[in-house]
Order: sequence, then structure tokens, then C-alpha cells
Amino acid sequence: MADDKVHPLEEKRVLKIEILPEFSEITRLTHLLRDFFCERNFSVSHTNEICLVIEELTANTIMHGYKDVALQNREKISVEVECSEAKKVSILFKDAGVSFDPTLPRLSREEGTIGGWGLMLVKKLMHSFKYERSGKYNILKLSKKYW
Amino acid sequence: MEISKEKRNGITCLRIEGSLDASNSSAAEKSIRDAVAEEGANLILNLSELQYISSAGLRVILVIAKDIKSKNGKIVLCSMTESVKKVFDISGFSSIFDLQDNIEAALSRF
Repeated sequence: MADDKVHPLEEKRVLKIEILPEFSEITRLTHLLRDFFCERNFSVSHTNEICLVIEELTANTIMHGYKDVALQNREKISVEVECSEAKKVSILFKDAGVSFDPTLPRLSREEGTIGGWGLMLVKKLMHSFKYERSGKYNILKLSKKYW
Repeated sequence: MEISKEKRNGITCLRIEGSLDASNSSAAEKSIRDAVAEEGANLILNLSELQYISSAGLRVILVIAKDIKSKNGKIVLCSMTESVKKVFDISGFSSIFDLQDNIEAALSRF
């Protein structure tokens, strides 16, 4: 079981979560996100969008970013979500996987493979999607205004 | 995520409830594959109680569809919630699957 670090900040407008890079953590992650956005009167549809984006980034890190990193060396993934009064949602996603810029155009999918829609969904659902490498960390900044 | 099974007019209908995501997609794929192996390759997926799907869930449905096609069967999806339909639309899946509004319309496709 991961440490349950939830830090409501700035009058509960910011949710900070750290998760182990394991698929089993996704259920806990989405529960925390649903509670956070439900309290802020976000619709189910908009909440699902945000959960989807963060799940796709998490799954991508687990499957690819940490693929060649030994289990004991995999650092936690950090997710910070901020909801402004103007209903702008900002996401800060940080991992210590291999350097990878998901905002760059992807090579076409290998013939016969199934998958690869996750990042496409992220790009289509968010208004802003930026990447930077800082030391050993991949840092993604995403945002979308809902009203 | 829960999957329940029933037979309607000889067609296997699976109802998927809850969320279909990266945490449960392997279990869902096995459950649906088992149903196809046991009951035959004509399948309706009733998604009326599916509240959330991610790309891991889309992948499961595509893998099952390919399996069914290889067995000369047919898959129809019905009763999608608004959230799930949106993911199908933006991923392009709406154009590659037979989507019906309700179970009766789905049954009429066989």
C-alpha cells in the first residue's frame, strides 16, 4: 500500500497525490480525483475527462517510462491538480522515468500492434500540453478551462 | 468493474458495470474472452452501466473484436453513457464499431 499523501492546499483548490508506479494505484488515484472535483461541482463528464488524462499519463509512465528501471528504483509519480475559481484545471505530472516528450508528434503505429490511443486522447482533451526535462524528471504541464 | 452475462435470442449479452481502465483491463479481457469461447462469437456489449473507459478499456474491446472477427462472429455495442460515447468519438472508435442505442436495436443486428 502506498503512502496516502493528499495535501489540500490553498483553501483546498490544490490536490497533491503521490502514487507508486503500479496499475493497482490507478483506482485510488481516480477515487481521490473524483472526490476533489465532485466537491467543486464539476460534472461527471468533466471529472471523467480529467481522470482519463491523468490515468493515460500514469499508464504511459508505468508501461514505458519505467520499463527498463528496476522495481526498487522506481520513484513515485507525483500528480498535482489545481482548480481555479474560473474553473481552469491545471495538472502538473512528474515522474523519474526515461526522458520522453509526449507532446512531440508520434511515429505511426507499428503495423499489427493494438494501442497507442492514450496520448492522442490526452492531446485532444486538454487545451494546453507542455513538457520539460528537469534533471532526472519528466515534467508535464496541462490545462483546460471548463467554463 | 463487474461483468454479467445473459442470453437474449441466442446471443450472448455482456453488461459491463463501473469503470474499465488500466487497473482492471486484463481481468475484463479474460472474462470477455472466456464468454466468447464458451458461448460463441456473436456478442453484444451492453454499456449502459459503464461510467468510465480509458484507452486500456478501448484496447480490450478492439482485441475482443479482432478475436470475434477471426471466428467469423459479430460484435455490437449498445446503450453507451455520454462519457463513454465521448471517448469513443474522439478516439475514432465510433466509426469502426456497430453502436446501437439500446439492447433491442443491438439484437436486431443479428
